[in-house]
Amino acid sequence: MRVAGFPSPADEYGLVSLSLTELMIPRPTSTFFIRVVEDLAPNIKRQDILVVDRSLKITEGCLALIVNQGELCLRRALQKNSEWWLISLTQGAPLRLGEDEEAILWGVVTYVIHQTLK
Amino acid sequence: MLSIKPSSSRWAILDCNSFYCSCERLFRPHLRHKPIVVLSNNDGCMISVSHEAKALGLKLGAPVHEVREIIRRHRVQVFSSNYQLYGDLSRRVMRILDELHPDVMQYSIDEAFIDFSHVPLGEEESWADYVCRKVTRETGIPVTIGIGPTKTLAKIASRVAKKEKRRALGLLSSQQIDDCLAAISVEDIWGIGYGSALKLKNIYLRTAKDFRDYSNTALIRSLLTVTGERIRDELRGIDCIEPGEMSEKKMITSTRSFGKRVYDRRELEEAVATYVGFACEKLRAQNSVARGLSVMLRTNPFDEKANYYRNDAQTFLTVASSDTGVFTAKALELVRGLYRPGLAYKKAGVFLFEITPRHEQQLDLLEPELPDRHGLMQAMDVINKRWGRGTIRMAATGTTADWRMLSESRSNKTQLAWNDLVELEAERSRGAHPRSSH
Repeated sequence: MRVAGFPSPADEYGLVSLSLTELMIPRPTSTFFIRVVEDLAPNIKRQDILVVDRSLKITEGCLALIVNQGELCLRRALQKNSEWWLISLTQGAPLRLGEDEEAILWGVVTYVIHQTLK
Repeated sequence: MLSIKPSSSRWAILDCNSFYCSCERLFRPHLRHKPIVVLSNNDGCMISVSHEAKALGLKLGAPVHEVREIIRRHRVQVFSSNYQLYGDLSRRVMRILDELHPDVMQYSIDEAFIDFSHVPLGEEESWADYVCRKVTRETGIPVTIGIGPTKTLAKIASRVAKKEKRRALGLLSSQQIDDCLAAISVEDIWGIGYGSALKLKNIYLRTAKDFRDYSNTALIRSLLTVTGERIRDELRGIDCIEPGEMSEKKMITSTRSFGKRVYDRRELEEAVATYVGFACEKLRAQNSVARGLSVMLRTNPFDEKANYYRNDAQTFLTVASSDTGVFTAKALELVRGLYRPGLAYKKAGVFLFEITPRHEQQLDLLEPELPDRHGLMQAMDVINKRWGRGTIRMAATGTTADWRMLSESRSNKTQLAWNDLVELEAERSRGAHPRSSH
């Protein structure tokens, strides 16, 4: 587009356009999306999309996607006596994390994308 | 005594283990440690076999119908290929390597060469181990790295690493290299195909070590061309092969099942001419020429009402070429010889072999030089790339194309479309699981 007349005073600030990708997917090589198909917790509902980063380490209170008995499931991580435990979001016994244990870490959930307008 | 020029170069090759199987396992963790295979989409051959499936005797490249009993008995999981998923994971793996290393050359969908010459001496294996762990943690794909003074030796290291179930293995001291080459037979060397291996065995060179220590260069050159000589030099530690020139395959194939039964010779000719076009396009894309052409036709082997017919025929050009027109004319002659009327043909294939780089093209002194239409062919490739495959093609390929492959159903869970993401259900007695589409 050619600009005629006076230059806009905003020009020198450049083009500011926010990118959700930049915000939510800083590491695209290790980021995966998972679709939630049933309500999992009060704030994680059917149709939500989980943004999961495999490169992150587990941290206190984080939501972790884990593998338990060969199945993927979502749990909350808590540290106790230098061991990581994965607490169920609904019912179910806590699982201990480790390569030879009941739960293996698949990735850490960084965002839950929830659409409010259906 | 051999004079081995000490080479300061060090190369690593990263290889994804049973890559397509590993991709299918990523969102299906219950398949970990289970036997699984991935099939090619049109002819049902196994193009990826997990380590557990190999242990049951399943072999890469074999048709799945021959091993149905094993698959049923051991509950081997069978997948049709999902190239979108494999492509996505391949890009992730390659990108991680790119970020770690300045000099990465992707060699195939699941392999890359990495220049390791700047890695401190003695730390090659631990660095490679770090790279493997990082790639596997971030992408979920298990990988192996082999390291050696040359690419050919790195390839051999990677082979040994897989056999010994190690993540990273370096063949770096001359003692290690000697021991290892003595245990590798010539057909397992990168770039030595079945035919070349036979030629070497005929002169009693059985192991990679025999080949490396053989000093009659003139004979090697006459048997295996200058490429064979360079492979030998690479085994001696002289870094002299670029990955691009080891064309991914010693043979280019274009073969497909038809979407319906084909009876008519004309239709078969159109199909074969089309495959010739695809094969020559690949040939030109890698800047090579071929001398050998083989055409195969077959009916459906599972049709119990009709007799099975399969036949192939070969011919050689006097001068190697990459001209679609030259190969099409020859291929149509072969089809006419192979065609039996009244049969329901299910599949045809075109194979180009005796492939050499274009610049090494040997002209036959007794044959007048063919009018080479390299410029025309290049123009054709450019147009087809821009406007879609088959925009410009040889008239022999026809315009009906009824024989074209029917697309198959396959698992569509990828990371490339919002409406086919992997699904997570609520935890029940055993926990949530992604709804498998199989």
